[in-house]
Amino acid sequence: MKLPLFQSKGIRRAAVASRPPSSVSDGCSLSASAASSDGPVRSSASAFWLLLHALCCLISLVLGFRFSRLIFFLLFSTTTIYNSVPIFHATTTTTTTTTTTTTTTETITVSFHPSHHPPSLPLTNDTSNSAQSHVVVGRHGIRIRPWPHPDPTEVMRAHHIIDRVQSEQRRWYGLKNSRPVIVVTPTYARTFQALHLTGLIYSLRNVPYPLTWIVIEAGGRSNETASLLARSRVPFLHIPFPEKMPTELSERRQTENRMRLLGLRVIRDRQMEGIVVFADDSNVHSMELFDEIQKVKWIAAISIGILTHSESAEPMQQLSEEKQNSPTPLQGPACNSSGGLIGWHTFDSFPYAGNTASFVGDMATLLPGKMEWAGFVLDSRVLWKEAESKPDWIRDLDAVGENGEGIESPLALLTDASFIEPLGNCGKKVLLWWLRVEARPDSKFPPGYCRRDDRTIIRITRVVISIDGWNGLVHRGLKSVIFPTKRTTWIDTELELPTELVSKEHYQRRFLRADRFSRSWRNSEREE
Amino acid sequence: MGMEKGMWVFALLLCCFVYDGIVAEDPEHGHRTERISGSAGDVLEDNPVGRLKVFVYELPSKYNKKIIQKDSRCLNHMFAAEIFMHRFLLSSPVRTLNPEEADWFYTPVYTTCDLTSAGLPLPFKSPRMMRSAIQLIASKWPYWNRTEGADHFFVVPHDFGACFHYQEEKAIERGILPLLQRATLVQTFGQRNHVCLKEDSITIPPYAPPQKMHAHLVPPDTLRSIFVYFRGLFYDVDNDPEGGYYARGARASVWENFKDNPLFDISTVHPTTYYEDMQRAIFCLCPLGWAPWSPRLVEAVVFGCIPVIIADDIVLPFADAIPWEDIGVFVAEVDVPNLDAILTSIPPDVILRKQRLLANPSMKQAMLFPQPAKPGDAFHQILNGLARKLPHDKSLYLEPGQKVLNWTAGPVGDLKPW
Repeated sequence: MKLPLFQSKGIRRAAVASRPPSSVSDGCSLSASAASSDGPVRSSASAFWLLLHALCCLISLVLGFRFSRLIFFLLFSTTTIYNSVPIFHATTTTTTTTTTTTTTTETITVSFHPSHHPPSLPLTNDTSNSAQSHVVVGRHGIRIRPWPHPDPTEVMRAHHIIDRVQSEQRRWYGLKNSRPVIVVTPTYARTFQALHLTGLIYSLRNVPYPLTWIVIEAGGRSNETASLLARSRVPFLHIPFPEKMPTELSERRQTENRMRLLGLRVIRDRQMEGIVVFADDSNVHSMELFDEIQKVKWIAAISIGILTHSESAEPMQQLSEEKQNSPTPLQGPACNSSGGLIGWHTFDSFPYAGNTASFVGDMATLLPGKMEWAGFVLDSRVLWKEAESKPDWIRDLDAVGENGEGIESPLALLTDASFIEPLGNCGKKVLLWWLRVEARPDSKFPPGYCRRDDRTIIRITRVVISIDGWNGLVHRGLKSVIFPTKRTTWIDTELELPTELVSKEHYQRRFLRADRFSRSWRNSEREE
Repeated sequence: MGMEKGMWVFALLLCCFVYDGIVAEDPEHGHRTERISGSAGDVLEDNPVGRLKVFVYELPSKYNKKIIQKDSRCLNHMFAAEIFMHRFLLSSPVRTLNPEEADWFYTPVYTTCDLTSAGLPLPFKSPRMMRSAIQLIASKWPYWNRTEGADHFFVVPHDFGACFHYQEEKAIERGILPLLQRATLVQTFGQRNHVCLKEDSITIPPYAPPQKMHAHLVPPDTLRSIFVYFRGLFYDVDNDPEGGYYARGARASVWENFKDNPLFDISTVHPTTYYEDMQRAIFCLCPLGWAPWSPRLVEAVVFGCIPVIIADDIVLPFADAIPWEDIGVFVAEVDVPNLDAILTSIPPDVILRKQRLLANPSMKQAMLFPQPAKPGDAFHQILNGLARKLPHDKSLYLEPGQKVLNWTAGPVGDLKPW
């Protein structure tokens, strides 16, 4: 069996004079030393050795390593120890930190750790010539520090370094003339507003260009929104919109369109310069989006990934399998091989026919519109009354949306849609994700963030994020789970909706099923 | 009074101009790359043509061409420098066909081309091959005996250079081939105070395929978002099952200390986007393996990633021409557990300066062996190194009949004919 101890030939050569090498090659046996001792009283000597052997084996069992080798090394190679005493000290300190397989070898590998003042090591490899390397050949320990995990201050410093490097890179290779970004967001105060707006705030804070955020709020300026914006550290304009946000989805879309139009009018009135991005508060934006939009000349289209989710609880498994097999739907420009715009990819709503949500909180799939605003970016000069070299295929903003009506998409601002520039590698790169996640309109929690102290967690039903267990760990994946709370009176209540909105059968079909499901869920979780 | 006022105004204006002149000469902030200034850096741009003459011996093709014909993988592995150096010299303007006027003599023998099925070179026949080549040139031409090889140079790019073994202990035991004691060795291995590195050797980078690397360049505005990057083995379970031998435990230490650190993108899985990832990293680890050198250094320099060299006492390529201390970060093997603290405590200005030095195209060119050769590339740096050693000392020339080398030294197996 190979000896991990005496790898260096030097040690072997130096030690050979003082020790019989064969004793080490055996295991626990002391036959060589027994042979060398060769006492006259054979039987008592052999009995003694046997006893010693047994003792050594027992100690080895307890300690977990070959005890006998250690003894023999220490006993019989005094010369090596003399020469290597300073290094021996060095090794003993490092053993405590290493966690490799056999600790014996760490203590014994005497000369293998390069110490701070390299002594001339006669033990080591270079018996053949005089050149001695500071580094030593042979077996070394694997140094592991006592707490081999990241240190948060160092991580922060590394991020600071990465930031510096990236800003330097941007300075040299990035855009020389970057335009400021104007972000238009329609919002309203509701349960999940804080969740969505916080995500959007963090995205906007990371944008490396000068930014102005225009927030149009339905139902007038509310305290919740105002407090969120005040804490955001993003330059913003909080614009009230007099109507409240309706529950019915089609009406909601129209209201949002009117709100965006109001935002565009503000841009025009203030003659703001920059690139207009339509960021809905529940969408997810990538940082590359803001770099890509700097390429826009007048109006451009980008690809949006559509993340729909099903609110219906029962055919859960089927839908998730389907989702795994089918690619994520996109909405965006379609190009020919030379990069010219030839058409549009839109969301295929056919599979969801008959199962689409008509109001928020409905137990069905919430679908995007034909052309989402988020997929378009404009230069603000498109909106101005007078802009130099403004092409004639751009209509004036006053001409559209008269009488307080909204426009479906920015395409209405153009007479000719073929002038739209496709961005993001001609629509192949998905730069933002469309997502609509809302709590039930009758969720009794005040709009704002959830308190966790008395475990009164908001009742989150029909949510895209799946909540695992009782802790609220968020998983990817699409599941609807109900959080059990202390006060469980809500689960059995019926959804209070305006009766004209919903017919009786609709109600029975959709909601009684839901309640049965929620009850069964609750029971199954209690069983666990 | 008017005159005095005029004089003061004039003096003030003069001062302003002078001040502006001084301030405007601040070179560093305005530039994307930085020239390695000083005597070391200028040397990179030297042109060796006209400063030296090299005579290439005509050896029978069994020493060079036939070997490549047997196994053409030699042209792509990291030891291919010996082959490309030969090809470069054959068509270079420094080559002379008249050996009387040559300053240096080159022997084209490909000792690192005996490959296993996996593609690793076996060094067992290399000493005999080299010896046989030297015997040939000593008998056919008088120039070897004139100096016993002191004005000859050989390219020996194997793991431990002219010690001709892949295992360090055995290589040290063998030492440099006795016949090459007086010649200049051009090798990739370099470690201070080591048997296998002669005093006046020229250290070169390992061969890395330039076309392959240039095919994977990403646009320079791709932001660097990886802090530390490394791909390679940490434990060599085939050759070192116990651990502790491979890389003197340094690579294993890197793994054990930083495997769950999000700043360290380290793994053994070799991705197809390896070159692209290096261009998105700020630091690239270049730890030692079985030998202290590795092609990672070349890759890091070409892709602008700051090399973190973890190899005690290593001698880096062209160390007399390239100020590696200014470009890379050196970490002692004992300090590997504190690697994250060391790297994060480097001031950002220093990091930016290193990146500017690395962005210098002459720096990148000096590490490569392009075909056909370009000015400032590694071939030219080797010739520059040889030119710097000229003129030869008179004491190198021996009296006729004087013998210094011992032709029968070395292991018995080396003396067998090849």
